[in-house]
Amino acid sequence: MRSGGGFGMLALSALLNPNQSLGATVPISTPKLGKAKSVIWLFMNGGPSGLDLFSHKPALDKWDGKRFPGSIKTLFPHPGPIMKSPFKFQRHGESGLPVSELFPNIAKHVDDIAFLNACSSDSHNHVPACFMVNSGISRVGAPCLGSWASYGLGSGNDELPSYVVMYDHRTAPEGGANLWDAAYLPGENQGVPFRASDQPILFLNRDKNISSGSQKKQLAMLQKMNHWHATENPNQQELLTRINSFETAFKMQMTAPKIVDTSHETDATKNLYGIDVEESKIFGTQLLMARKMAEQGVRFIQIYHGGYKNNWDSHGNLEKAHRGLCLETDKPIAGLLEDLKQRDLLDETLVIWGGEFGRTPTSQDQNGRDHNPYGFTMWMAGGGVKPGITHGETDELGYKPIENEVTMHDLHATVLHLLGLDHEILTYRFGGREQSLVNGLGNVVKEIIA
Amino acid sequence: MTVQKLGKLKKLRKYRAFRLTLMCCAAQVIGLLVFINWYENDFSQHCDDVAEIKQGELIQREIFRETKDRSEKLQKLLSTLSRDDRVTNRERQKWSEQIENSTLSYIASLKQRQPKFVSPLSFVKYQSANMASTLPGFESQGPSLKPETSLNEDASAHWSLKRVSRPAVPQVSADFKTWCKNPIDQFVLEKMLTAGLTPNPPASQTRLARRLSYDLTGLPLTEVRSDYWAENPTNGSQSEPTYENHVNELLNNDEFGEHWARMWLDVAGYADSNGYEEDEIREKSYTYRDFVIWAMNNDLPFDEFARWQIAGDELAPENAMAVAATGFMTTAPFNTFRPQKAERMEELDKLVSTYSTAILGMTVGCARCHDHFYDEISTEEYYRMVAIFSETERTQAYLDSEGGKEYRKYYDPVKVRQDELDEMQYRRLREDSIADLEDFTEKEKNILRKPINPDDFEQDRLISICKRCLNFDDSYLDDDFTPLPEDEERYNQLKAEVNFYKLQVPECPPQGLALGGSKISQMAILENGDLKNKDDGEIVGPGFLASLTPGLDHWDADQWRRWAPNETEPLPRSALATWTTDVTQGAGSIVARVIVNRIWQQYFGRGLVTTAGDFGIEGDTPSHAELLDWLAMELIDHNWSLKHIHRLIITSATYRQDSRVTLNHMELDPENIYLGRFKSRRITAEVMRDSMLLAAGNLNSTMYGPAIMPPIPRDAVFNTEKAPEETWPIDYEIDREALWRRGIYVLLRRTMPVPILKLFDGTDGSFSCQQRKTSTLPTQALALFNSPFVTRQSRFLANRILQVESQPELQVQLLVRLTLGRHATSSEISNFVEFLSEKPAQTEYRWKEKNLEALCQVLFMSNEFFYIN
Repeated sequence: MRSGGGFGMLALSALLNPNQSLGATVPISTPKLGKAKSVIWLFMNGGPSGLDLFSHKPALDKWDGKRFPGSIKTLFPHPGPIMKSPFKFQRHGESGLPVSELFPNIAKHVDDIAFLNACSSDSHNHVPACFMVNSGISRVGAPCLGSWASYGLGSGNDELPSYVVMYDHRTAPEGGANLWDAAYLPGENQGVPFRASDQPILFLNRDKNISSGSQKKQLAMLQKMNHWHATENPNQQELLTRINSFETAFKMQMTAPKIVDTSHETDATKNLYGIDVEESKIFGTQLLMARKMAEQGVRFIQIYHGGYKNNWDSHGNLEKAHRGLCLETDKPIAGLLEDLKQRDLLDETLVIWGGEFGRTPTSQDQNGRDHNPYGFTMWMAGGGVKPGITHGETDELGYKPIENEVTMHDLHATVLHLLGLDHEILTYRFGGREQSLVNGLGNVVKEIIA
Repeated sequence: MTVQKLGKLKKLRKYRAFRLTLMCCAAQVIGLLVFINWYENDFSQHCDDVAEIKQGELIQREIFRETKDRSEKLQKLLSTLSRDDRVTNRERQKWSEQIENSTLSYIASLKQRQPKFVSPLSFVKYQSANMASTLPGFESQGPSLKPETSLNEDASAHWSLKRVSRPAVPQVSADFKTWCKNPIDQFVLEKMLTAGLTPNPPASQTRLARRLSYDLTGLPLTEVRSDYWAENPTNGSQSEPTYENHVNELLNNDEFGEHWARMWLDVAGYADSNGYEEDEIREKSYTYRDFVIWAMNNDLPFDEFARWQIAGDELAPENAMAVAATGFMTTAPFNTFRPQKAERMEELDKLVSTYSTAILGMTVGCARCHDHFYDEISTEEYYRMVAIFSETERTQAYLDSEGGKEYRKYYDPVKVRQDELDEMQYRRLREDSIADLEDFTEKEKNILRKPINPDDFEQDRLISICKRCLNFDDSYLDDDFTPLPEDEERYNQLKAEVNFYKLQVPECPPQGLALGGSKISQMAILENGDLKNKDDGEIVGPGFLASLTPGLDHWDADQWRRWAPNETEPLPRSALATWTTDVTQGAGSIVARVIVNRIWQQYFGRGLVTTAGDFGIEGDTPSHAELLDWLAMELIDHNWSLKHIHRLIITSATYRQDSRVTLNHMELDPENIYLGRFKSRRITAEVMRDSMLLAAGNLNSTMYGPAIMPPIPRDAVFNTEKAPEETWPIDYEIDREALWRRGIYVLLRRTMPVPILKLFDGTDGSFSCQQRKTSTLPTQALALFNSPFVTRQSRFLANRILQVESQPELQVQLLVRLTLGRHATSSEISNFVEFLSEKPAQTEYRWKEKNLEALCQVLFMSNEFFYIN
């Protein structure tokens, strides 16, 4: 672990910043590489089928019902015949990019989006693949992209965590807290779950037996004691940092509920995010919260759509399942893009859409699809990404990349780049070497950068 | 570096190795002659001496225990049930004998085999240990014999790869002679003075007593005494407790193991679930956790500790603890949902990486894909290590054939109480025996009754005369006896409890999660570490690391058999275990350095090598290289006793310094590299939890057994295939005594670490954790303000105080004692009393009590509560 450069030398500003713990290196300043100040990552948990959403493969119609030519690796043995997409595709916008009928609202924004149609990962299983897309290795133990972003950029707002995670409160993603772990990076870079409930952050609310006045009194007494203690134990930065963290926590109790509170939002906004519709209410509210957080300097906001249940893992009856999932997400996502644009925030907010892998061209259980980590679709918008383009192509059946493959390592390098961070410079010493998110395994996808 | 240059380097190394080999052969021939001569003359004497010293130590320990302070009344109030599940001296003696025997038979077996494996140096080492005093003492530490020839004296070798030897202890000027308590201080002082610093004054007794309590037991002081030890013991006065006595008492506490096991479990990446999608609970994993606690408490020699964890099932299959120890090799997470072949590779990688980081202090993981950039670890060697484990499997091992009886021995509630009764009986017998001594005067008898004082020669003499009459074996024991008057109360309590528990002995685990399977297996070298390249890879068999093996340049196929303890049926895992702790021919030197550094790091917050898991070329260079080697030699020479190292460190003047930070410190040594002060540090997540429970009077000291699941907020429950309450308890009302056990017993589910522990930088077993982070976050402050655990324990603490004191002044004083282990200052008293007497605007029901609860919580949140000074 690194050790800090000495208590005394730290400036007062650092002293007042509770997120700057000793022992952590001050974020590395690199020449400004990118425009994005924050990331909103729409994580479609379970593996959405790009072939049925964005990556139009007319050849599937031709091959429908036939055996896959050559061999195909699937999670479950004995893949079924090739299955054409049950959905219609149409070209949209000036860019004329294809989107399936399931995303009528997102389709209106294709001119803001860069589609990565040949993404690849290396695990067939959900949780290892989730680790891979989050942290670059397919097991636990490495910090997530969000933690790296937070570590590299520092906090933009003391009263909110710099890396926030939201998930459907009815069902959390498998892999749980490991998915947003800071591993060996300093603790302030840990993803903090944030809920659209009356207690957005764990332990934010007072015990019902304790009044606000009483807690204020406690804080005053506590700080008095802590100051006595600090006077008796002078020159110890950690003690002062800790004193400050209590003040911040107290303020957090006021700031965080404001993020959740949608009572002041106009009907137009609620409609924009689909909050007024039952199906998209939860996800829409989360995206609205995400926009507010990005506005207030939260660096990395990751929203899991789908958890243990109700996720994108459509092994059977894909048509019905995906239709429902798209209904839940289409309006909120389009609303988010629209809102960010209206507020002039899209340039500095990178929106990412995707899951841990995609789905096979072959069928499973007659009308579903199995996992395909070899070639799948993700997309990005805003934050300095070239709008209205596609990058990468899979074969005509959509199984494996034939050009411009983007590995998860490439994706990570690119996101860091867009945030102004160089993946080769942003390192942390652990386990005997300088560790980084990409570890030399990927490159920035320059073609998609504006 | 270019490829050509690398090639040249390799050639040079080979040449050097060849030269070295020649030298070694010569040295060995001479050495063998020396050895044979020495063995015949001195070795049997040496064995006798060792046995005698051991016996002496046992008696001393026994007498220490007898005089163990009984005045911990507050503590006693806490536990309705006994916390004395301690292993008795008899067991201890059996252990010592067993370990001794195995060591001796091992040496004997080495002797019978090819002579080239026997280095005379190891025996010289034993002899020098024998010459030194058994107790750590300043004067008695003469420099041990320095090896005349060494097998790895390659001056250009990386420091950690050189064989450890005993450095000369630096001389100190007359001004500081009195400051130094043992050689540690001499090493430290030399550097400190060079850095322009002088030692801080010693910490006050109150402060030091609290620090010791935290550092050795992980629990705070809840009382204030001025007589933990005599500040300036007058020579000859035996009634005064010394600092050393106090330290020994703490080291003999069961809480010691519970606290220090956590350090090792972190390093081992221990958790109670499989991780990944299903994240199933490992119901039997706790047998490994129990083994670590047990080993720490019983001071299992670290070399044995290491060997058992690698191959206890092969080396001592009849020994339950040795089998449970292999749980170390099962800690890696693994996927259970449609497991893929590649995932097995990940698990094996994790296993080999954890072994090498934790024990060898080497990061081998990089060699999975390429020859290690910096350290001399080749991809081939990496896959040879993987090959050792490739055929092993996690098993639910029967910890012995009789339904786990062996294992049960260590925590059966009836048995532990019976053992305590037996100890009482020993005391009775000893007292009777002393009283019966015919040729002793009453004065001499009184001297025998007193606690052992190593400086008391008279006592020493008397003990040596009547050693026999103070030692009793089981045949002396009777079912009924009359206890000593002072034991009577406890005797009655124990008798009652034994009867109670006899009726309801809990189901004991006949099985534990262990490693099984022993085969000489093979592994393909995978290009880029990718299983896809399996068919193209060269096949290799078992092997270890050449760079840690003196005189070896390359690892040949059958090299590993050199270390196989059983020649007729050589097993690679056992061989790895033997090689790991082989000081002269294997990795023993670095293993000793790594563990003493880990212990040092816990005490000073900064290791002598700051990269505790990486002693390789990319790792940190030691700030005090000679001290590190000296400590490593102390460990090796004292039969790898970790408690010996603990004792050395905490009795040093370096450790006893005050933590005050001066401007001078900040300017010259902000990181405290030169140790001119004690560095204050935050308590860990588990210590925080335990401290609150203890202060509130709620800590349940039951040891061992299945993990507990304290309630967590509904919001923090993941993986909700089932309803949250079926996944993990969420109702805080159930948080009662059974769950108020120490943090080390809290179930660690990888996807769902208990939030309040995780928030304060607790581990989730994702990787081998070398040192806990200490982040300071507003979310931690929120947890202290609002988590049900903290608010509830604050309420319990308030109740506890209210039951004893009704006067606000007295309440406040008790509160400060219970939480901070010191007396309240006058300004604290007045401020706190004012806080208590402040009526809320709208008079609430129970407002006084509520004020006290609020104040209790303030103390729990305070910096002083959270920092060890």
